[in-house]
Amino acid sequence: MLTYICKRILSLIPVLTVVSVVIFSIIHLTPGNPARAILGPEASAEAVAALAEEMGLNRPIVVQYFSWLGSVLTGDLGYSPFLNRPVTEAIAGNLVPTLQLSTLALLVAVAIAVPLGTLAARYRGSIVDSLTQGVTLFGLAVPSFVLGLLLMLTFAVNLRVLPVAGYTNPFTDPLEGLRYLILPAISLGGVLAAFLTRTTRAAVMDVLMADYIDAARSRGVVEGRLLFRHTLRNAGLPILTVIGLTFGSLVTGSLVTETIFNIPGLGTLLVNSIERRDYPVIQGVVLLATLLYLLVNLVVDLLYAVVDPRIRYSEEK
Amino acid sequence: MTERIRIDDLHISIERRDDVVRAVDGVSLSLAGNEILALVGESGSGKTLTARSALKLLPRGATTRGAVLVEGQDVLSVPGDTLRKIRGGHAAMVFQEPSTALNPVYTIGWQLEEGLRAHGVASRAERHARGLQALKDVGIPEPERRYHDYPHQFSGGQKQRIVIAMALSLKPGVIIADEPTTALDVTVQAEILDLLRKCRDELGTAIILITHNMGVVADLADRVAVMYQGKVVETADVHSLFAQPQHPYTRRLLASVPRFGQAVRPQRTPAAGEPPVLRAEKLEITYPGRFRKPPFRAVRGVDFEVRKGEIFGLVGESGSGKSTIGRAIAGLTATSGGVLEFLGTDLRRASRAEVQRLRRKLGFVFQDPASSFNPFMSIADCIAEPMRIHRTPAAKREIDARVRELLDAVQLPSSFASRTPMELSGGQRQRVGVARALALKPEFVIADEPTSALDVSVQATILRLLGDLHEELGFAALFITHDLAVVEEFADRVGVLKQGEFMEIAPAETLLKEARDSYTRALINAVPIPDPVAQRAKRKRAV
Repeated sequence: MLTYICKRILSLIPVLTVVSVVIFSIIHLTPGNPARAILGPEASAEAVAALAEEMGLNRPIVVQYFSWLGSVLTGDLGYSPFLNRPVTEAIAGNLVPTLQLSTLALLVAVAIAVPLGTLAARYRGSIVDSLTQGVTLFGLAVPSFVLGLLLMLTFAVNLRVLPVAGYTNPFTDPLEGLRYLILPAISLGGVLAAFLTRTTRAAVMDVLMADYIDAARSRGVVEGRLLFRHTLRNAGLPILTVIGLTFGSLVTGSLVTETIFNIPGLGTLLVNSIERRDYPVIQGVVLLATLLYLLVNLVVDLLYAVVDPRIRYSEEK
Repeated sequence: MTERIRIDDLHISIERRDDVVRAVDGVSLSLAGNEILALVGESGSGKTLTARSALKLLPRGATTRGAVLVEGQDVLSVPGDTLRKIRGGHAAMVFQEPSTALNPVYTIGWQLEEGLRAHGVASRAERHARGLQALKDVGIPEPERRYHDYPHQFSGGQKQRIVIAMALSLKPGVIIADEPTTALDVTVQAEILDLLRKCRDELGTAIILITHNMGVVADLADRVAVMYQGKVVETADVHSLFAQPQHPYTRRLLASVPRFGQAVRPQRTPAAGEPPVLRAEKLEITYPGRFRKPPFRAVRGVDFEVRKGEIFGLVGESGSGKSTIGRAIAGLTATSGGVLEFLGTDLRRASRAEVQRLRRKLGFVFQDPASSFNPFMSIADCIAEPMRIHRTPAAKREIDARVRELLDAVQLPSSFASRTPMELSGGQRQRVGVARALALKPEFVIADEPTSALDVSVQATILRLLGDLHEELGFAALFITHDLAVVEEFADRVGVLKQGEFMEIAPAETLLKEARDSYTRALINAVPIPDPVAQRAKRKRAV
């Protein structure tokens, strides 16, 4: 198992190399002089030249790439002239709210989707199923920012039970922190929940047709146990796959959600940095998002082996 | 004798989208302890539904009328909790496909104990002990070591033993065995049948045996109920059923069962001196290893040839490499060594264009007619496809004419041309499969288990059709099958494969009557004879 994990981690290297090239090119893909873009049209030619010199823009591009890569590998993502502090520091400050938001959104999605999808599959064709299908269709059709605004309007503006926007760290004040995070988490997790419910329904329906379900039933196993022990674990693989793949949409979704709910996360940082062309920060955030995505999918792959012994054993042989 | 199961005027209808199918139509049966009742009939006759009703394991949309009494309780009307106690406690089930009847993500020990837990065996130590004992009883070697293994780590036969162990673990009075040996090789089948017989003899278990294999019926059953279109048309003691079948359907069923040593075949003398249609010399086929799995040598240096106009039978158990050879000739699997010569050209060294040209001379009939057709194509398009690919004949009008001719040759009405494959029955679909294989007037036809997905009576008609067409068109053929009786009836020469090597190649008559090789003999011996007197005598001799 350990060698399998190591191999999987090593396999990330080529992916990250390609990604690093793409991210590095961001700065050179925009037309014009990046230093000029950063400083704006008012800046003097000398200031632009000085910044270009400082950023190493005058050196050959391959040299620039390797020097950038070298500093990235040593944990130095550069310096943001706008924030006046190192990029790593800026990201570290904004990472926690984003991680909290996406984790909570994922939990919301799983908590809604797995039971709902399972019930819909078990009672296929019933009212529960039709309602589920309708609601998930709605969830898939409504963009998360519309859902966010609707939630905000209902719970914060009209009912006044939750704050409109803002952020308090749940680690320092759990209750207050959750009150701030719950609406953004629902609006971000809602779309994912809709997608995941449909996947769960299809996967569970597939498994329910399997002989071993009838076989367990023929041994007198109670229905609830059939559904939750026999079926769900087998339906787990497709559900996990979808969770891993849609994690990317959580990251991009958080850009919008954080902006609407004014959460000082990576999304807000990225949007602001794009507006002012703060290239080092953009590069840092995108690199981190990619890394997170890859790591989540690595964890999903490892969970496959936990869920399905056939995968575990074929790897060990 | 006490009555273990009594079915009284059972009706089961299944509601579909727009109609209601009366799948079981007034069936009454009874079963005593120590008795094995075989339910026979073709697919769709209602035999599986009837048997499954004893556990109320019915498909969605099924409605029932009548009564199914298991140890005196009507399973169709008892409350859920009582039903749960009957399931596993009084009646248990053995499934057709052991690899899907076990949950892949739990150990077999866990699954064995689960049934015990469901029936109130609270002590963990007791569950473990009884689980182990159950594995021992069905003959799983080293049960302690294997207790925590997962289903995929066992062979097919072992899995079926485990399924039987689960069924037996609570000592139920009745076991419903739904085609328990259909997915297994003949030698394994014999072992599983012995195990079921042991259950009856030693534990007094009553068994409902659902099967389409009359050899299995002759071997195991005490009584037989023949089902046809949802009704029991005849119930009789096994000996009298085989000796004096009463109902016309039973007579037809028994007549279509292929029997050993009774094949009446026209003697075909292959043209001597002419070059063979197909020649394999030291042919090697290796499946490359993946993910550090070692490569698998499926075919290990086989030599054989198929002469002009000859039917060469290829028999062997699963994994013997018989299908691999057929697929390699058709170019569906890559070869890795030796010579594979088709019409004088070595396919391994021929150019792409040459192979493509040679493919015209080759037809392929697949095993499962349900999955070898594109469901969105009409029957006419399915048959015409090879002609369109090879542009022979080129004109559309000629192709249409040829399609009609082929439909006629396989005895299907030309009105079928516009239907889609799913609108046809299994047997009709396989006729289309034959028509498609013959579309280009091939010199060589590969038939890979062409009848094993079909009912016996349908199997007989398809074999007759293939035989007639062979007579008429004179193609050479490679006939791949696991069924020795079929190969005797159909092939001129037979090659017996085991783990990628030929054990023996001989003319069909001599091979099956006086096999030299011990594996061939074991294989022949394992096939149950569809005659209770002969089969029971054979078994006695073996003991």
